[in-house]
Amino acid sequence: MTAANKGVEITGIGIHPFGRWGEKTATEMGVDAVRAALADAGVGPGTRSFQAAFCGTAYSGVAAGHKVLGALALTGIPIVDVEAGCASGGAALMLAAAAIRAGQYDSVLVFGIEKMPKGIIRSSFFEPWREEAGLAATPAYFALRAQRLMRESGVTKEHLARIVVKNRRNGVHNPDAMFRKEVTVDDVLGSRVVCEPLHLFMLCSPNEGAAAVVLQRGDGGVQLRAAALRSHLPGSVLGEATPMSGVDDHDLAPPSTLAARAAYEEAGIGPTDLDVVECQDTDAARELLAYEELELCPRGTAGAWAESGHTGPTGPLPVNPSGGLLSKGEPLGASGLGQVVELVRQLRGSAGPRQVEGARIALAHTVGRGANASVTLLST
Amino acid sequence: MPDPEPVELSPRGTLWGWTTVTATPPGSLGEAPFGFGVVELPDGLRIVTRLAGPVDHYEFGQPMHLGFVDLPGADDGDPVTTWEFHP
Repeated sequence: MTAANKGVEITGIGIHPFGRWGEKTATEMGVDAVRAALADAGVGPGTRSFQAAFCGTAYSGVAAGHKVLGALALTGIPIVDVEAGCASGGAALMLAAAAIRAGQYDSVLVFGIEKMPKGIIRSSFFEPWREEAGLAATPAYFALRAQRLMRESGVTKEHLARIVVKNRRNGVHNPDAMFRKEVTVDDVLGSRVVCEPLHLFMLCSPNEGAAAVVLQRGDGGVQLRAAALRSHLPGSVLGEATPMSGVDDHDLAPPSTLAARAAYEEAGIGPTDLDVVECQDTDAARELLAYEELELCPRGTAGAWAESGHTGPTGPLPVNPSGGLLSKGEPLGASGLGQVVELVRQLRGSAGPRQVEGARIALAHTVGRGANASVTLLST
Repeated sequence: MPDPEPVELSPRGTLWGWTTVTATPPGSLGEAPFGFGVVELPDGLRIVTRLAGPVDHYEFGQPMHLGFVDLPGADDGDPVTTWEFHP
């Protein structure tokens, strides 16, 4: 590492499996993930190799990151919790990478922790009157978006089911995933309807877990080429912003597109350069929408693109080889960093039975409440 | 985008999206199931709203008009009136 290095290198990754872990606290899961990441980076126990830490979390309360690093005797540095809904981990990466590029720090620890109850996520984002009126029905917003995608992009319920089948099949090979059993199209369409057209198996489960990444100034290894975060433009009616109203938004770029374009420009990488993608599949339609929003396929063609098998494990651009959130579940603050852990494994060639052959350029995408959207680009 | 300001809305519009909420959302005073969707008003504004149900036979673009619904108050308190759109 010298001052001449311009890049940001990911030197260590760690994950606490996503699932439901009984009495185990978010702090304890964070300790496990951070320990694993530091060990992976070759940092000995009790050694504080980083000068700052950012902790992505939405539900862990005050100074959650301090509790994790306090348990590891690694405090004394700036420790900042970062909340940006589902994009909390991506937001933490953006801040860490920018600080390294600015010369403020040589190394930064980024981790995410979450312990969430089952079922529809209760969010302080909704004002009390909106909750009382029944308008805090998050899956209903997803369902309306799915309905729109079916209307405008030739997507069918079978396409939605096949996304679930694809991701759950990928998840079979991921020991860090919550669901590791394959499902069929019939299983998906036979599961109960939560909000038409979305069935239970088409929705990811909020759960528990932690992930950690060690960043360092350097030009080797796996490079963090860009970490962009964007919010929504005013006017969209169905985005993760869950607005009360909107306008005709056909000409408005959604936050995921804004983040993707910023990341592509920062890295000098385009969508056709990508070898592997981990994207937000909060629900099955969300993954198909991400294909369009990340400009992997033209707008209005997600259905046909999915039909082509393009994003299967042996397709030209595998998407969610980890099994996605549909297999892993979604611990908000940790989910984005979980994607990065998967992609670093892919770029190191150490993803085992999930390995995407020859993967060199990877994209991670999360989008959630706010709306906040993050796009992270990695390369070897 | 213009600087946001309050505007008076039309009580009539057309249906732009709909679904049924089958599990009572967090903090809701009413019980599931109930209709939920988006109505497009004549000036182009799209409003997120409860929909009078059942919604099984709703169609894209069908005319809708404003109505009201009383939800039971929390802890046996007074009912809370909110809006919903009707076919």
